[in-house]
Amino acid sequence: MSGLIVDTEKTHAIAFNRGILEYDVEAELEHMTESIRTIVYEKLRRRGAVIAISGGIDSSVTAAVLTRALGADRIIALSLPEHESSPANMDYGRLIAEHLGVELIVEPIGKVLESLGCYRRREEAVRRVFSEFTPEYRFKIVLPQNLMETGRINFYNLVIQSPDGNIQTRRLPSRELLEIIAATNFKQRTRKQFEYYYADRYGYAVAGTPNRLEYDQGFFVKGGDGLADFKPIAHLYKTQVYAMARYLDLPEEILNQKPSTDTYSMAQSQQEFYFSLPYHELDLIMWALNHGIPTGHAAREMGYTEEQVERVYNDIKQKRRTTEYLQKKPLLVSPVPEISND
Amino acid sequence: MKEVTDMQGTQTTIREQINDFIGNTFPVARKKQVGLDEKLMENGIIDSLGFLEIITFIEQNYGFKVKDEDVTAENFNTIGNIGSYIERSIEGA
Repeated sequence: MSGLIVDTEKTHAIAFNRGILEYDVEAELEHMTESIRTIVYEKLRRRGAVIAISGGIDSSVTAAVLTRALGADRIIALSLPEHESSPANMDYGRLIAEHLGVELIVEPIGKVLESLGCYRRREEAVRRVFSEFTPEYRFKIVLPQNLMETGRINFYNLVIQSPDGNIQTRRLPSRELLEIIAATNFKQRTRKQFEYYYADRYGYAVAGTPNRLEYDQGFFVKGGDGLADFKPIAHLYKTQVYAMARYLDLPEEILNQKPSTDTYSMAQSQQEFYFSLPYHELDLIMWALNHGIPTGHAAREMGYTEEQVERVYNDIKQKRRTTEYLQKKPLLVSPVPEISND
Repeated sequence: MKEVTDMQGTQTTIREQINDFIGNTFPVARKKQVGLDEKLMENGIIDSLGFLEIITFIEQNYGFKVKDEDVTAENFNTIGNIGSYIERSIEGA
């Protein structure tokens, strides 16, 4: 990987500081475009790429890199809004498609989700926790945000907002948590159906858009946004994705957005939903963990206590363990050696 | 150690009841005996969702609400710690 710092993990202490994620963006782009062409044309034997555009920074950068690698006429960008999608994100999707000169196809999926019972199932689960909940309310689920301060075990709180703006919060029991997540996952899996429809229709490959934090920490839906033929930015820390976006001169509106999930009826940041820390801090701590940086060294460079860094290290490792299932390919009971699983 | 009557009317310790619940509920614990001081999360026996199930079990069987601020590794990361937490909560109620 040219342009990026590469080191074997946990072998020796190396320099670590807050600037460690800086890199030669142009060199990395050259490497990525070459790899993408090899992957799409030679390894996958596809003619172009399909990408779902959310209006966020990751899909925008992925689309920009794909355009650079394959040309705008070999990209199909899909906008897949549903009833709870933010109108602003749809506008950003149109903006990035126009900026790149790629074809944007809009396929609303709200009615499909209705027929699957996505919204109904979630509302029933929320009503078991808050009996007063009606479809006029909004809700989201959030993790505690004081990850560095306490030895708290991660659990989700359910937050509802009444039509007159009153907000209530309760710890989410496991049964309701699973129901809400399972029903919400219909959204990502339905989107993926459309991506593969267009991929099959045109002989294209489906590009996934996770950044390294999301890929590493299992922040995706199995068979949903986790499913793709290739993932161009999965090796880039989110901080590096932003650097690439600035280098590629993507629209300011997209650069200035706060990462959100755009998944629940109440606005919810990715930090609230999953990461519990600002991404630029989590990027650095994850890099430190990946490179065997002792907690004391990382703490000194970042201005935290050793205990705080230890908690984040443990949380990162715990999420890797918990989401290992999401990363696994189908397991065979007995090997089929004629078919490679790579 | 405090003995309580379980759902079958048998006098067992709280730790034994928690051990039985974990052994019957979580696949890794079904395959091996979990020690009282064995770290449940670090050893992959229980994940954060599993701790929610333990909390539900506690609230349904020991008659008190587990406070959010009590859901910590210190109180929940071993069977021994869970047992101690339940006993303190019952005495304090």
